[in-house]
Amino acid sequence: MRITQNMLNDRVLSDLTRAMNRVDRATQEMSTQRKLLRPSDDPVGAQRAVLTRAQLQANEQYRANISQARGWMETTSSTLSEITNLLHRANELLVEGATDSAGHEARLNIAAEIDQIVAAVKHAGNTSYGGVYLFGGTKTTTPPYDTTSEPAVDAYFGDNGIVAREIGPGVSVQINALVNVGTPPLLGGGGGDGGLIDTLRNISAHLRGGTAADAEALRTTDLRALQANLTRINEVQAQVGATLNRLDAAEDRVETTHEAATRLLSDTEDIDAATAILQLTTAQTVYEAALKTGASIIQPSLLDFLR
Amino acid sequence: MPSGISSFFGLNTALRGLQASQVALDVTAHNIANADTAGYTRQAVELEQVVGLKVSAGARAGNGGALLGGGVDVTAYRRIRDAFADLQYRTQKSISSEADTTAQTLANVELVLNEPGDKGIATLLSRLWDAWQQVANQPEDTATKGALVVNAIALADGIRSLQAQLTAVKDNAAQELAAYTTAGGDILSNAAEIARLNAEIKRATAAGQQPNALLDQRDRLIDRLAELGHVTITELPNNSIQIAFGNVNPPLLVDDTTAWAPTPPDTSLYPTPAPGGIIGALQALSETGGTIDQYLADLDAFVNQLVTDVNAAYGGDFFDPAGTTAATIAVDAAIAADPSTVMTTAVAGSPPGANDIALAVAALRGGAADRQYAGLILRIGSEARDANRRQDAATAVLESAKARRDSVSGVSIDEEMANMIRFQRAYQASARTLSTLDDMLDTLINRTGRVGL
Repeated sequence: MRITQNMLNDRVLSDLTRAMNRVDRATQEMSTQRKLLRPSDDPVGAQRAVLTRAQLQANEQYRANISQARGWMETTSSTLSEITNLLHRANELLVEGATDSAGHEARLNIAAEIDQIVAAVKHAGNTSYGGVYLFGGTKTTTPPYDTTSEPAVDAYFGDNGIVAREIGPGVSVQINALVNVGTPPLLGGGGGDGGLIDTLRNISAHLRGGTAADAEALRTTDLRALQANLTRINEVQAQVGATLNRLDAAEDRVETTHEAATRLLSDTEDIDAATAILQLTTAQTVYEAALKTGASIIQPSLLDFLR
Repeated sequence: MPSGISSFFGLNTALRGLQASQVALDVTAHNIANADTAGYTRQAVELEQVVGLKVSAGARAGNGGALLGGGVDVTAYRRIRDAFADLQYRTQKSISSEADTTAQTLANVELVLNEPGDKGIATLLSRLWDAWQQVANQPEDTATKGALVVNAIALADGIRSLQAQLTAVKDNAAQELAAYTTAGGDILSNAAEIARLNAEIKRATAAGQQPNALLDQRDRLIDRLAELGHVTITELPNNSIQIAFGNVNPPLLVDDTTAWAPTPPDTSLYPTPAPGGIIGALQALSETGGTIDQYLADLDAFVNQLVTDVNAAYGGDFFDPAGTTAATIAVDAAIAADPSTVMTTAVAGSPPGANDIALAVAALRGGAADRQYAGLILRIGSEARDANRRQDAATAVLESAKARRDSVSGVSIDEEMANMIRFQRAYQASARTLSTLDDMLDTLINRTGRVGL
């Protein structure tokens, strides 16, 4: 084939451009530490990167959700423990007041303490976390119990709505303990619903009553009702504990998928530093070699050797 | 001895030799001068010996006749060109320029898309789901609703701006196409110039001249047309030609008249699908239902899915229900005006802690809308990569086609230098012959008949 100077020039130029492009690409990868710069670099990888990135962001959010749910549940749990303690104290008082040896005076004192316990239970029912009331159902902005009115109002001002948090893709858990549903209800709203408040009010009334029937009621129905309330609280505590375990499991899952997703994203998008440096060095070497050969080929012609 | 041959015959022969060498050197000079001229075809002098003198008798022993060589004549200044190499180069040129245009435009599309990364629509979408989760976590708090609406507006703005930018890329392609095909555009001005050159070439050829420079000019213009679209060239008498895009009828130009009189932009100028080249690429990119139109349609489908899903889960108008395309997506005006009106629950009386709606909307994360958008990225990425590969392949083939053509038609300085020495020597030899003949005649004229003087 006949070769002309211009052909050589063109060839050298296009080779230089190609080599330069490779250097440019390698430099870009090095400086951004990423190999996936545009979707066309790896279309399937780009799609995967977008979905994985969304998953990572979702995981961050799930983590925040779980943490908030845990705070809520832990506060619920400790409040329930507090109420359990109050209930035990009420039980002791009931046993003390129900004995025949207790005089009327003593029973009135016990009744007064029981009323204090009711106030404390209602106060516990108004526990809030982060500015919202835990036991008001979905009426989270109004206190579920009236602790100020005189004479006392026992009614429940919340509702029975479920408050839930999403702790994973498509998984939500109920995080509020409902205090006014079930038989007997956990705390209830007084008025004969069998809830803890109602039971305590009955005990207080029977202590104050002083008749034989009252004393009998204390020993039988009231004691049974209080036991039923205790069972109920224990049930709810168990549920809360189970949910807390679920939150732990969900958090573990989020951590695991987070790790996997991070690794996948990194594999898809990020460069392997050693490979990238090698590529850059190779590209530079090739470019320099192309420059060198180009320079030695383009210069001479027969002209240089004619006298 | 031969008789009947003029004593001065040899002088003329030597003179022709001198003149031929001079002409050959002139052509060499012309070649060297144009070594770097784009589109220049190297020329060579065609020499032919002259049958100068017919001697009927006495030229040879035994009184035979002869035809005496009378020196050399220049018969042609030949352009050294290979029609097949031209055909190859031009075919490849239209393929390569089509791939170039497509790859460049799709690179712009990728730039506009800005994915993968944390500045694209995917991130804005994720933030919207995050914001809904935050609302679900704190439905009592109007601040989270404010943040939600801000994020939703940012997403809608981002989608609208992406749509506008994609449309701009498409419109630019359409405008470029129009610029090429209008009355004053590249195609027709080239065609008109070729028609004019055809007329001149025809006239010169008919008059027996060799319009090499004009032919070179015409070839350059044809190369330019081949870049714009695949051309078919038909030879006509007297070196004239007709050119058509593809096999379309009527041809772009016949002889010295352009057959087109388009009203801009006239898409009937080229066949459908367009004949490759830049206009083919631009047409495929910008036409209705073309490459970018399909991306816009995909984007619309994504927006429709997003708006429909969110509004269905929301149980009302979170996004303006009228805005189901990428150009029109907007957060419902009432919500945008007062974020506290964002509903979080469908429960009667809307207790402040209920978050069923927020949970339902947040659960859309990673759903159909997310997947549709990721699908769009996959599609654009795949097509851009395909275009880049075609560009690389076409460039490589074009380079070798160009090398083949240059190999035939390009000027080699080495070759010209060697020729220069050859012609210089020939010139010197002819001059030497002339002076030898002159010496002989001097002897004959001035020295003969002077014996004893």
